[in-house]
Amino acid sequence: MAEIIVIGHGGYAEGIRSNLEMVIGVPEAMHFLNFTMGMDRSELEASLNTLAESLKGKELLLCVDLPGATPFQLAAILSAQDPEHCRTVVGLNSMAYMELAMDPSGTPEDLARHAMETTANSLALFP
Amino acid sequence: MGKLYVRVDDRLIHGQTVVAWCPTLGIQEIIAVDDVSAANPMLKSILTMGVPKNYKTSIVTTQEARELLCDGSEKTRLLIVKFPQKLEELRQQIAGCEKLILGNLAKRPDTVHKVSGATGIFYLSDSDVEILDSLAQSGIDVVFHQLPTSAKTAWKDFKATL
Repeated sequence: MAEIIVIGHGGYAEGIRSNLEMVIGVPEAMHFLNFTMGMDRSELEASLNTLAESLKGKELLLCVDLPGATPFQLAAILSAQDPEHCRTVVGLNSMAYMELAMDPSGTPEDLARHAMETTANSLALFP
Repeated sequence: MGKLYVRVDDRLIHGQTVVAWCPTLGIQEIIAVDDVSAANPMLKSILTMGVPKNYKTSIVTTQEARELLCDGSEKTRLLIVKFPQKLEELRQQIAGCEKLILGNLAKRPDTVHKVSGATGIFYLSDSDVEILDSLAQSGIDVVFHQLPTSAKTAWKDFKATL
């Protein structure tokens, strides 16, 4: 069982939260951090550290919007400090978030790998 | 010698730079200067993860940057530093650059100047102003410009407000 933290630019995290809420509901194990206009890196870092501290001892899966950007960098640094219990995954879609919300059991690594597969398998082009 | 552009951005390698500036300026190689990150392989890999493979990217110490910038490369390069102070240390190497573009510069304890007009966050200390002014006086085109599509302010226009 992992705690899941969603972090992204603008209303990304809030958007994912509201998306989940409408479809299947949001479990207590999911947390959302918005990196909004006017905020600087240190403010986001402080929010993430406070949240991680409050979840101390639990396994964490950090889900961010873009590779390389500030939310990713902060998440990646946190994961690198404790790779046994914390992983960062980038670019998940709604389908993957729904699966995570329905069943956050498993190690962060297993959850991340499965969520990446789900994301890749739920892309489609019509007609 | 290939062209050299210089970017000052306290986020070092940022999505705005990679996605917007690199194609606009025709950049082929990115050289990011930060002694702390250059000494830490984990930070280096985190910082370069968002950069597409078609850009040759190096995160280097100040000394390594001096050497790289003198190697006679034909590539169009973007040199990124976090703060204006670093430009003072690379003064000789950036002398012929095409443009010095100021990006994101968040508030620091000694930043007494806030730039208005250009879109973005630009806070400068007295020492930043002194360094940038001396570079502008030496003939370098210095501009506050967050994104190619956003409003910019030329150094002389900012200078006139002091």
